[in-house]
Formats: sequence, structure tokens, C-alpha cells
Amino acid sequence: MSEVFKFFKNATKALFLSPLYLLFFVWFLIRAIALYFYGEYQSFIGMLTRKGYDKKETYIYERRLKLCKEKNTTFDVLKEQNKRANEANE
Amino acid sequence: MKQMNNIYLFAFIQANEKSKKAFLIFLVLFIFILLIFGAIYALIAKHMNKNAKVIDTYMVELCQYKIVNNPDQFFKAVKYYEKRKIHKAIKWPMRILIMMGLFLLIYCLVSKDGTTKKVFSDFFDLFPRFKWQTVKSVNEELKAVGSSARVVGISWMPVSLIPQVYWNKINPKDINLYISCIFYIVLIVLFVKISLDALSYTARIIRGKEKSRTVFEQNLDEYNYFNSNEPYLKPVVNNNVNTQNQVITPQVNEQPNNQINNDMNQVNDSNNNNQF
Repeated sequence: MSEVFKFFKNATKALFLSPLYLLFFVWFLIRAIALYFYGEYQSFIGMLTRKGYDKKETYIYERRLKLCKEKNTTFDVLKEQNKRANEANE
Repeated sequence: MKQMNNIYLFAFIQANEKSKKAFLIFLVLFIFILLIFGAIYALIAKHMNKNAKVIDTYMVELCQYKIVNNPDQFFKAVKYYEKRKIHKAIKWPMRILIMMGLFLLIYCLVSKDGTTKKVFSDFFDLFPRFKWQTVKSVNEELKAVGSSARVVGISWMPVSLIPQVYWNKINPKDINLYISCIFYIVLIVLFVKISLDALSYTARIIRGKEKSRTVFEQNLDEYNYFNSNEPYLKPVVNNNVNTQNQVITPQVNEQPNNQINNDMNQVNDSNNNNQF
């Protein structure tokens, strides 16, 4: 019963707020299209610099994750190790 | 309140047959519209809830390995992934759309007059057209026939709920009809695809924002300073590496890891350029 009530409550909300929802929807579409063009630009730059844009293996976070898995430790530890190694070298 | 309801009920009983019918028709129509809006709302909500969970697949590991350490970093990582995912998801639909638009533009420019109108309207001739007779249109028809009779009412009001159905003629030999059909079908399919991906993106960003607030929440409910003899350590979640509560002590490497230095620089750059 509560499901039916919830359905009609949402339906009423959707009906009366439909202009607002429609505006949001248009905004989401515009944002997606803008992100597409931004992505195309970044892909083009990435192609020139041989870095790529939407390939998962080139993601900075994925590379960090891979490094952490290889070293069997967390990233903050790796950073600390690296910092100390830098200091030791200097 | 009960008395008020009784007044409405009494008014309804007192109304004539025509008013009762009209009221019931409007009621059925309203419920029908509510059902349609409810179904659309439910479908969109289901799609967004299902897709919002996708961020868990990559963010859990980033948190486990402490690559993200605070709400800002968490949300930036979600945006970093999602910006790329939305581009990957809609790049081919958008490219097809742009190419199709260019093709149509060139086709309309080089072909004879009237082609543009045909390309954009021929598709709709495949479907029946519905026309409701209004008070105004009936009166105009009566006037055209020469009758002095007139229908009384507001000009835009339909005289019947049942519409007139008519079909436009189509020419199967006209290539514009096929171009028009292909254009609209592809447009609808791509629009649905891009819309669903845009909704998924929004759902993930919203979930990312919400989770960034709760993931790093510190909880004192289960902790008491005097009951604990050792530091309050959360279990390290990486099962392959550490099985027990364990503090990892940093070991000094002989050589600095240049990859981390590069990665740090890149992430700082990407965070600075994060516009969306």
C-alpha cells in the first residue's frame, strides 16, 4: 500500500514540478555535450602528447593504484618513502 | 472536515448527468496522466539509482589504498573518473550526430528547393494525424455550407472527445522520405542514449558528493579513551597484504620513485584544471 502511495506521491510531484525537472534535464544534456567537447579537446591534446584521455590505464589514480598494489602498501606510505628518499639524496 | 466532504458529495449527487460524466472523464484523464508521469519518474529514478553505484567499483580501492584522504580529494577523484567516462560513453553517438548533421546540411544545400522541408517533415506523414473538432471549426464549416445554425460555446472547446483521424499522402519513390526516416530514427536512438548517459553521470556525481561527506566521518560512538590500551586502529582492508590490524612503518628507499613525483605533479595540474 505504501508503495502505491509513494508512486502516486512521486507522480504528483513529477506532474507539478515537470517544468523544473525539464529544465534540470536540459541542463544535464548541455553539461554532457560540453563535457564531450572538452573531452574531444583533451583527447586531441593527449594524442599529441601521447598521454590519452579516456583510456583507463592512463588515469592518474589507476597508475597510483597499480603502484600501491605492486609495492603492497598504501599511497601515503609510498609518498613518505619517496619524500625520505628525496631528502636522503639531497 | 467531514461536514465539508458531505457538502461536496451532496453537490456531486445534485449535479446533472452531463456534469457528472464530465467530472468522471476529467478524473480518469487526470489519473491516466498521473500514471504516465509516475511511470516516467520511477523509470528515471531506477536508472539513476542503479548507475550511481558504479562509483563504488573504483572509489573503494582508492580509499583502501589511501589515495584519497579527504572529502575534497574524494569528490575530485569521482569527477576525474566521471568526466572521462561520460566522454567515452557518448563520443560515438555525438560523432554520428555531428556527421549526420553535416551530411544533411550539405545534402539540403546542394539539392533543389523544398528538400529541406521534405527531409524534416516526411517522417511524420507515416503516422496518422488527429484533429479535434472545436466550436470554432464547426461554426466555420456551418458558415461555409451556408447554414445559419451555430454551436454555442467557447471557440477553442472541442465538441467531441473522439478526434478525426486522417493520413497525409506519402510518395514511396521519394528518397527524401527514407532520408527523413533514417534521420529521425537515428536521432531518437542517439537522444535516448545520450540522455541516459547524462542522467547516469549526474547520478554518480551526486552520489560522489554525498559519499564524500560520509566516508571520512569520524565516529566516537564505539570509542572510549579509557577503555582502549592501544591506538584505535582500523583493520587494513587489503587482504592480500595485511591480515591483522597493522601499522605500516615507512621504509627508506635508496632511490626516490620518480613516478610518484610525476603523478603528484600531474594530479595537482589536473585538479587545477578541473572545471566541470
